[in-house]
Amino acid sequence: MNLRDKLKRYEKNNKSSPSMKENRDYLNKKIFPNTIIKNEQGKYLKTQKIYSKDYQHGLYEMNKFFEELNVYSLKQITNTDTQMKKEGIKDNILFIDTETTGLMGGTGTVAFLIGVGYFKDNDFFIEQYLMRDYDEENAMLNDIKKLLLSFDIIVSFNGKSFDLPLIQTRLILNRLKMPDFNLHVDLLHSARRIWSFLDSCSLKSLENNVLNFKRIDDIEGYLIPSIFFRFIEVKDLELLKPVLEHNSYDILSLVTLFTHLKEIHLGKHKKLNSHEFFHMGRIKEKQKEFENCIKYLKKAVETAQENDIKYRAYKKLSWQYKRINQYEKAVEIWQKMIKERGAVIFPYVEMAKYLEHKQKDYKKALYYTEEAEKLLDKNKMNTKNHKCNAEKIEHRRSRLLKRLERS
Amino acid sequence: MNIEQMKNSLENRPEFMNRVTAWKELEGRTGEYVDLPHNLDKRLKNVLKKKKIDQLYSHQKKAYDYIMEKKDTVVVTPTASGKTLCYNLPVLNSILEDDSNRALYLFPTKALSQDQLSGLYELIEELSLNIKTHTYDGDTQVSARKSIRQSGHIVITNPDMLHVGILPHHTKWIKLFENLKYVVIDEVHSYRGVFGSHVANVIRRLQRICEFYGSDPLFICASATIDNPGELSSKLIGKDIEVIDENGAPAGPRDFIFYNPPVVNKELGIRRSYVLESKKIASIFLKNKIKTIVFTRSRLRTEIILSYLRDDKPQDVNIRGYRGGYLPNERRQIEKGLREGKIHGVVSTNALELGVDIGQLDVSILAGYPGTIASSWQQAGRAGRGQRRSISIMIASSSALDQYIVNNPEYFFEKPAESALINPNNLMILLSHIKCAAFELPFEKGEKFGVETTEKILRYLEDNHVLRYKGGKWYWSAERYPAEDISLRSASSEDFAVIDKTETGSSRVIGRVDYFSVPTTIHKDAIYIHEGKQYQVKDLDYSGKKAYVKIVDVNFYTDANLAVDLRVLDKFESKKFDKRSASHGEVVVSAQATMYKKVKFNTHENVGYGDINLPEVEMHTTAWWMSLAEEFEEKINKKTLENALLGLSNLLVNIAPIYLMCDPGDIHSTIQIRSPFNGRPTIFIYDSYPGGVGLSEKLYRIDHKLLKSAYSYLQKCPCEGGCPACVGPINEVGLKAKEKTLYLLREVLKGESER
Repeated sequence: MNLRDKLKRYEKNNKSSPSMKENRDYLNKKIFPNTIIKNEQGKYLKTQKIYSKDYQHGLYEMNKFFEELNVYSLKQITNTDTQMKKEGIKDNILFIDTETTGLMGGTGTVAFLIGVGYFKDNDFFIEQYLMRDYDEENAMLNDIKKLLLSFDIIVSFNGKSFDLPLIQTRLILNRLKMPDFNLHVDLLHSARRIWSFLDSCSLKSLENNVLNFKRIDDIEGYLIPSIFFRFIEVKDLELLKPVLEHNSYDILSLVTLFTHLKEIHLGKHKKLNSHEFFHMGRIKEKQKEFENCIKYLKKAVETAQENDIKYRAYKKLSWQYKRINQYEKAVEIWQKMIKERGAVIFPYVEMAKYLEHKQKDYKKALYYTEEAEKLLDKNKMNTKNHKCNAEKIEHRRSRLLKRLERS
Repeated sequence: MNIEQMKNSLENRPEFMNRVTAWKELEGRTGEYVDLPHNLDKRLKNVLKKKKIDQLYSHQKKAYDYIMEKKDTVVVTPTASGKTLCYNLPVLNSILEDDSNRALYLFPTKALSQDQLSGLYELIEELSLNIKTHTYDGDTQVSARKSIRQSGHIVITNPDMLHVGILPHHTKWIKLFENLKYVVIDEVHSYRGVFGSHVANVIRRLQRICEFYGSDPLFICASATIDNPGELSSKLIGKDIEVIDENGAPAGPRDFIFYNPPVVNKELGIRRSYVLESKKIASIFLKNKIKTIVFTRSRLRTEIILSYLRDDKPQDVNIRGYRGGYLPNERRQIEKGLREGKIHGVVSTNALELGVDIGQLDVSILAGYPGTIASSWQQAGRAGRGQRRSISIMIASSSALDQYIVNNPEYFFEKPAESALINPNNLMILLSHIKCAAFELPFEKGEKFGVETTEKILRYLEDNHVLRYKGGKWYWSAERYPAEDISLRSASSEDFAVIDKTETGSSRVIGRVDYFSVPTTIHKDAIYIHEGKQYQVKDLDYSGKKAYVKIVDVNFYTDANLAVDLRVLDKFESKKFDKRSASHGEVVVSAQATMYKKVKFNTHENVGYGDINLPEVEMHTTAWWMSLAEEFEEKINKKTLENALLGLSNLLVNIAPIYLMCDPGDIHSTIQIRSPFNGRPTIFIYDSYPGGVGLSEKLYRIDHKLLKSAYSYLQKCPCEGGCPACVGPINEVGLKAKEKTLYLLREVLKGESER
């Protein structure tokens, strides 16, 4: 702690001009194609790359994105109702992903690179807005704001809690107003509804496990802030090349992920695994599309490799049948469950309920109740859930006994 | 018996009266009332009338008027004088005027924020308008935060949350900052020392952000009685401020009694336990069902006195404890019981000293001097209902500070209260907040943050790649989030964590110790006292900045010996007298802890020792020093002189906190029999915080007064040759230390009395 000394020394040594470094030109200016954009507020760097409609990224070619892209499929993906202000959805979607100087947020974090993607005349354009130093932010953000104004739908990955609030903060600090959007599709939320069973629901994990895309020589996201800080010191654009590539991959994967979600929700992608079928069943249940729900759950049962997911699907499926009064189908499932695995009380309890209330067959109902009770005793666990179950079963048993007495 | 009869009964107890060193009868006074302001919103007037408030105290009205005239204002009033109305009236009035107006309230603790919230709710409910008032701190539910940010009219928080949770995210608080009309800072007197210096910088950051959003809030401060409320508040908010220090609230007569427990060991100067004495005296009142509050200095003592009192009380007398660590519900219940009179007695830490509403009691007993005059008056003020008589009794412990106060009552009663010192421009603290400020908004060239030399600091940070200068602005240019690394409650960012490992498998951070205190407070085997519990350091991970502790139950504490080397770097000012010279300036202190003693509680006996093996720590700070004239070296032999010097430095550092309004741990002393700086025998007293917080400069201004008090105090100390309460124990300072210290003081003062 000799800060005061350091300050004093600093004062002595640093009278010389620091402008030498300042005025040095950038190195490797053309290591990737780019243009310097100038506007009233200043200048910044921009790249543009065009991907033709048959460009393949992971599972899909670009043009697959257009198929059945409409209000209905948007609703399916986002699980929300949406009304379009403008004509044509395809040309109205902006994919967006930022690279920042920190991952913790707060007003001191800067989005130094804002990557966007959009379709025009069936081609896919990726544009990257880069501030090469802090004094270029204002010019960059002015153009970003204009760009945002011309799109109605934003597609991002975790943009609801990270990218968009950050852009909003940067706009406020530059005294600009954040434009409103009609719809913000945060694909992280959409993906979580289906792939929550994966160890991680990060974009990278989805690329590896779902989208069939492997990045080669990709940099780790957490290194990006320090690369930027190094870049502003040495002004060598070569340093940023991998960051721009990383960002492009992110945007391309957004398109593929979006397409994949659309295909799944529209039932066009058939090769799902049992977990995916099961979660689709849940989504359809929530959307009250019960027919589809049953379809997915049946698929989940058929494709199940492990018992756990199979029984979860069975359980849900039998409830669905119960709900639409198809008891024979529900009974069929419960019987299967009893036959295939005896360690869960669920099918016994359900059988008992069915026999008691629907069939009025108290004797048989009592049999299933007592079987459930035996099972429970065998797997005694001192949990709240267990006690609760035991009480319920005991209650049913005594009621059944009374009924049998009376009849 | 009623309170009057109790007073007479006390006077007739010789065993009590023999120990009394002062009995001051303070007269009561009638209230000064004025009409409600004519420009106060009608709805607000009606609410006040419903609450039977037809008039205001004069100081409340004055505050209202000042604030209406757009003057920043600090209100200085004792306990129970209706200070919250001073700021709630103008704030509510302005929100009634314009629904978009906003206010920010700052309280030093979360508990006080909660208390304020419930007080405000009562007013707002009566108004039956939708004025959204919320606390926003670490306890606020995440789900509620967004709506508070967007639509809270009054946001109640603490400086720490403002520092780390609000300012670095100001873009989420646009509605608040664009429309901020008032910033209320209550308990201003608690923002002193390092904490206050930090808070002043947080306020600078707040003002900077308000400026960005085009608002210019008025500051309304409230303070307990201190000597320099205007100076402190104006340093805190960085501009001049109006002081309202006349009090229009009524008060009954008060007897303030100083009580010194008898000496039981004359040689060592040990007195009978003040804890037991406090219990004994409290019992006298409680047995007569007279409402009594006992203030203690630690959570542990609260519990001890409580259990003693409960063992010895009539069945129908209800006594409760109150301290930090009790659950909020429990606390509310105790407060209510006190207000309604269902609880007769309460034993509390200083938690009840600040603005929590508990109604008024009849007797307050201060078990031990609370450390400052201001606190003493706050605590005493908890007794006294309306115009009724009240009694306050301060029972001294055997510590130096207590003994000084109890034996120098005139000092206590004549001086209004201490000054609270802050130094917002302490380089370390300033630098920390310039980082935070740059994170929040880039610095423009020419912009000042408190000091003229702002640019120099910005360029220093630029050179260290924390900031980047571009296009006339300095931008935050690092990944880190600076506010997270900076604690408002200490000066150094390199704190060590103290981790409780009492229960195997669990570990809990119970405290933090700043880097410079590590060698003396958390060396291996040190006793670390936290929340009244004793912990022993089992392991110190120096590079990992962690100390692992376990609860122990022992009757001693540890006291480390520091080999201190002090070098003067820069002399700011100096003065010369016949027998001494004095200066203050910048010093570097390097300290090496060598060994520690185990010291028995209360008796201060030495019951063992151990080695400390830790690296030397170095600190730049500010110091006051005093060098003796040559004649002393001729008259006294070297060894005796050294002992006298040591005795005098012990005495001065013991008493100085009274004049500096600081904790005893905020200053340290060291002596040099032949200082390399000027070749003279010299006593140094230095700030314990890197960069200093202004204590040594203040010491320089008042050192004559300090020496005089030290002299009269030492003359009165009943010990024979020295005790821990004056020059130090004989086994440390030698047999003649007391005598020779007296001689030094007498001689030195002789040389100054003619001036």
